[in-house]
Amino acid sequence: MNDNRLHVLQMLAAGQVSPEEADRLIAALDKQPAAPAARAVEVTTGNPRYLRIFVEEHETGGDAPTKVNIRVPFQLLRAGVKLASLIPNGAKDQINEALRKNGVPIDVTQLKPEDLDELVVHLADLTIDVEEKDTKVRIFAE
Amino acid sequence: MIPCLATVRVGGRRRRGIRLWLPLFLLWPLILPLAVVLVVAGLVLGPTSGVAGAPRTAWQLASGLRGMHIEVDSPEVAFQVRFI
Repeated sequence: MNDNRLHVLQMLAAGQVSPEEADRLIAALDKQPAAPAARAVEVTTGNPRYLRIFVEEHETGGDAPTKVNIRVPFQLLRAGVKLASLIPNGAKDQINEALRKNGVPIDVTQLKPEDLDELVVHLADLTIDVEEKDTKVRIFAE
Repeated sequence: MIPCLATVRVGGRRRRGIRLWLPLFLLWPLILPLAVVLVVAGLVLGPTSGVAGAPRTAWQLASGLRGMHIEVDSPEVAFQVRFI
């Protein structure tokens, strides 16, 4: 027996609610278990497997547009990050320095597969849409 | 599971292209000796060396390729690679 049902019965015993009201409350509580099940399905289906990148560029000449369609498995991204752990420390410092020079202050020594896993989970709801006059870019996870 | 097959298509909108089916599973026996060497090197050099994790990472990288799809379609050239 869950806490809510027990609480309704205690209210009934204390005379705070009538038997009819208690019956209605319990019936309402019985309908609740459907919600967590639906949520579980959402979580399962929300786990993305691929990163999709679509680019469409319209040219002024009237030709059909240039299209780029890329699907990258997240497993590949995770493995790529693990591959970074094989890079010698001296090389990592050089990479960090090069990234900093180009305005990307990312420390590759701090990049861990767990972080990417967390990122992947949060990517499920992410959609990037960039639409300019002649270019359209869409990035999302599926 | 690492990809068994790759398809490559190169062509253009105005010309007939080529389509290749590459049976990657035929490469597995060629990669096997390299994997054995890496595993042995990992065992000899110890778990702290970077070589120890190399075979596993390489396997994960190869497995990650499955499902990869790159397609570029422009007026000049059309190019498509798929790992199945």
